[in-house]
Amino acid sequence: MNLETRLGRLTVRNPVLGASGCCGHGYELAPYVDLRCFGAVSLKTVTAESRKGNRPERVAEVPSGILSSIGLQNPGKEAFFEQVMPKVQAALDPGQIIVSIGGNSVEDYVALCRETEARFGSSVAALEINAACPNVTHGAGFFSRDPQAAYELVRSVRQAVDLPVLVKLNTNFEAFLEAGCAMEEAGADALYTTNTPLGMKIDIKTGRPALGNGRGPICGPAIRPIGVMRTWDLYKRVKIPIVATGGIACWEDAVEYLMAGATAIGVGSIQFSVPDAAEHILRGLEAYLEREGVKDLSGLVGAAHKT
Amino acid sequence: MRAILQEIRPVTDRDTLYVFDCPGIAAAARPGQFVEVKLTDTTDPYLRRPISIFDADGERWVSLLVRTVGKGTQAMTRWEPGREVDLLGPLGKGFSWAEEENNFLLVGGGIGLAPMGLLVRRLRQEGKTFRLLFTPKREEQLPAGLALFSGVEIAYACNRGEIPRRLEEQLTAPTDRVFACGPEGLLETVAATAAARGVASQVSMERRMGCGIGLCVGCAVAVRTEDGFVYRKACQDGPVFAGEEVLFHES
Repeated sequence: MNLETRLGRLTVRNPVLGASGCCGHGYELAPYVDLRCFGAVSLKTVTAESRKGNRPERVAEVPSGILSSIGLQNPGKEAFFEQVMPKVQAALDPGQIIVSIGGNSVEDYVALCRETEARFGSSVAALEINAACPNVTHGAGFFSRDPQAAYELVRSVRQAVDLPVLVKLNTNFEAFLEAGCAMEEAGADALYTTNTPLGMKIDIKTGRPALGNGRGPICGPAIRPIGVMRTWDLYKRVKIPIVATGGIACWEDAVEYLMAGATAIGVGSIQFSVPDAAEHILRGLEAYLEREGVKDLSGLVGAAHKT
Repeated sequence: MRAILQEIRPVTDRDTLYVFDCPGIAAAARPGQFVEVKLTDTTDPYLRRPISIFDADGERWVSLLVRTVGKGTQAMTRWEPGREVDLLGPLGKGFSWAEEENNFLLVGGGIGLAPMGLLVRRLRQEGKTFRLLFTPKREEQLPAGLALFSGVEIAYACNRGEIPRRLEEQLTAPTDRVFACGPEGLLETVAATAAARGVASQVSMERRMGCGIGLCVGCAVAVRTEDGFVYRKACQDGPVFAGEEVLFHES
């Protein structure tokens, strides 16, 4: 079955993608899943300088989900290029590799995107701009809550590189629809949404927040209805493809997001307990399309808006 | 990996030994490693539970010594033999020693004995000399309930204040290496006391884990570097770390 999916200038073999932060660098999943089943995998975000990450505890279980506050721990670009990327390239095909870029300022993003393209060129598939990222000056998610800043960021990166540019949009801000529109206007190939509202858990034995950082995004099926709604809303506003994440645990969830308006889906934290979840989702999706006689996946995208 | 629960053996009021038929893990397991246990087929609870491998015969079976403390371990007590359970493992970096080392001190704080069965088995197989300092909060009878520990020389430190003195006493005997598992305060004391005597130590660190396989970077342990520290993953870089390298309570 041909599930080839177009995300602007990026074409992936199928719409089941691995979401950044939940797949390690891809190769960690290799013992548990056939990596060929991923349309693409977004690597863990890299920043120019190394980042220590947040203080422990960093994860806490909640009903049908997990709170996490990792703080973009990464070894910085040099170690990423020299030590991480060779292992990534040994595990994934060039067409599957999406490098997720983080930064504080527009200049940071532009410089790191340029450098990544200069070093790897067409041996990676696309760049993902993590505009949901912590920001030292303006606070977390700055580029997802200020449409003007979002426009400038995406336009600057688009002008600087030739690789397809996906933009990670954090939908937890009032202005996320406007920010999404601004990213589209600035030339984003697709919007990759993260639909994880912040939450908190108190450990009643210690009387303190369970996370060292106090609060963190909620991932997992617990928040899926929020993600579906935001995908629905965003689909009404933008024409470029949406890659949606948010609590996708099985093929039915993937179909739900496609019907809400996603062109592709990102498999995230479910892999923490089911490391071969992407394979199950892909096989389930194929079987569903076969059963329903759906020839072209695009007929399913946004289908719920048409009825 | 598919495992069949063979036997559930109560050890104390709140500690249970679960024995699984699982050749894949039984053959590969090394002392101090762990498995990630899937509790149900649903997404609630959402995460697997990282649980130390207590013992394995190297061929067929593997056992987990589990203290019933929360929702997940509570659910396990309702399991019955014959149940099929999904385990990932063996995972992580366990205890290690050099061939020429002969004398070992094991320090277990309460359920800190959980990764020590296979350690006892392997040390015994290799003809090494070892003894256990056990510091329970409540379950003093825990080692007595574990057949593997019969014949092991055991010293007890029954209140927290006693631990440094008991450790010092133990370290007056020849010791090439100390292996410890238990509350972080105990591990810190072990690491410091051993280091002060020039004895190498290894400590098994407990962290909440998201995945156990290196995807989420949730299980951070602070490890000393020349200019401060970096966070390493308990699931892959540990859970056993050299006592000297851990920056305890960096949280």
